[in-house]
Amino acid sequence: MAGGDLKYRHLSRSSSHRQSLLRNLVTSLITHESIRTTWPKAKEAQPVVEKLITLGKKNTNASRNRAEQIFFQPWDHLPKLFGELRKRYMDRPGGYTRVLRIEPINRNNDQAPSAILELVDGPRDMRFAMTAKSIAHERSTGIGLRDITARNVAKVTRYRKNGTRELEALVRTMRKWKPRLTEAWRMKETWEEVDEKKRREAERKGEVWVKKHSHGERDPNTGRRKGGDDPFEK
Amino acid sequence: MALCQLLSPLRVPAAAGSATITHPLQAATAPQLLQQMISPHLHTPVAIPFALPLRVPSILAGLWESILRAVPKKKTSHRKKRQRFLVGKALQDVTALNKCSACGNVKRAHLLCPFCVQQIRGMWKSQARKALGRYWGTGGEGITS
Repeated sequence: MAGGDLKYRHLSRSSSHRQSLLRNLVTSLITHESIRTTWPKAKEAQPVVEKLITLGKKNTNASRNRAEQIFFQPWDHLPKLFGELRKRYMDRPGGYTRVLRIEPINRNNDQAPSAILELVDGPRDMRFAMTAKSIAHERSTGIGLRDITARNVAKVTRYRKNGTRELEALVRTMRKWKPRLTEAWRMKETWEEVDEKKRREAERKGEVWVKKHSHGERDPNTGRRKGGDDPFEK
Repeated sequence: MALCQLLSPLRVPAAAGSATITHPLQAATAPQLLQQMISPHLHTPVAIPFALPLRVPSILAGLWESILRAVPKKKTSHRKKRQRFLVGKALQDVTALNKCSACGNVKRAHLLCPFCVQQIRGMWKSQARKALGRYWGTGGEGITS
């Protein structure tokens, strides 16, 4: 890293800006259980969240005061920290968050390396869901449980209450999902093409398909929408 | 043609008089050839038709030097310039690939499969929409949002 061996990433910000960013990230994570951001930001926010949850587990006046200083709206977030999250992580000796690398969020902008930052054992635990999906796929293809999936199952259900039961329920849900074709996913369809496909599908079944949400019809000559979304139309 | 004319001088007047002469050089060489046939002591069979003496006046010489230089004829286009600067900066091929254990598609190593992530997030979204404050598996613990 330029500028010597640094203890943390500066994230191209002043100290105060960086602090605010991290506080906002932490707040979002506590609120939504899982957030998507760039990988360096996720890695920087991770220790802050870990420390915050440790404060929540301590549950003393001093820890409350400290936690109050981190949130911008403590009255909204302290109850969750000292209630739900404290209960959830009581038995877990650290490691309350997880960072998973994902494909860049901004595919057509900067292609920055992105990640999911999530609270472990929460309702939006991506590794838990991915493990369930792997199990579903392995069962449907008849491979059987792979070693790495078995290891993930152990990790994911270790401290989770009713973890095994929840995982099994999710696997059962996911086995009903149809496999998604990669090619179809990558193809960029226009709204008109999607509508046409739906219309044809309904026709095949002998039904009449009516468009629910109109986004403004396109003018066949100019290709622009007639609705108000184009400021140059007016 | 010239050699042919030399070898058969009888055909030359006919050729000179006819309309078959199309090239100016040809037209110029025909009388020269006739002259050659008449007086064979002249050595040059084909004379240079014309020669322009290139004489620049001495007053203009300085001006000539100062004006005419080897310069680019056109501005380098944006495309050409970018092509030149971006040589060797093309994107690398992604070779670190493997198979997603959850759907079987090809995905980048050490990254989650984008299709599975999309599907799972869609599930969460629809669940949140259906029953706000409930989520899968557990008995009604809330998503505070």
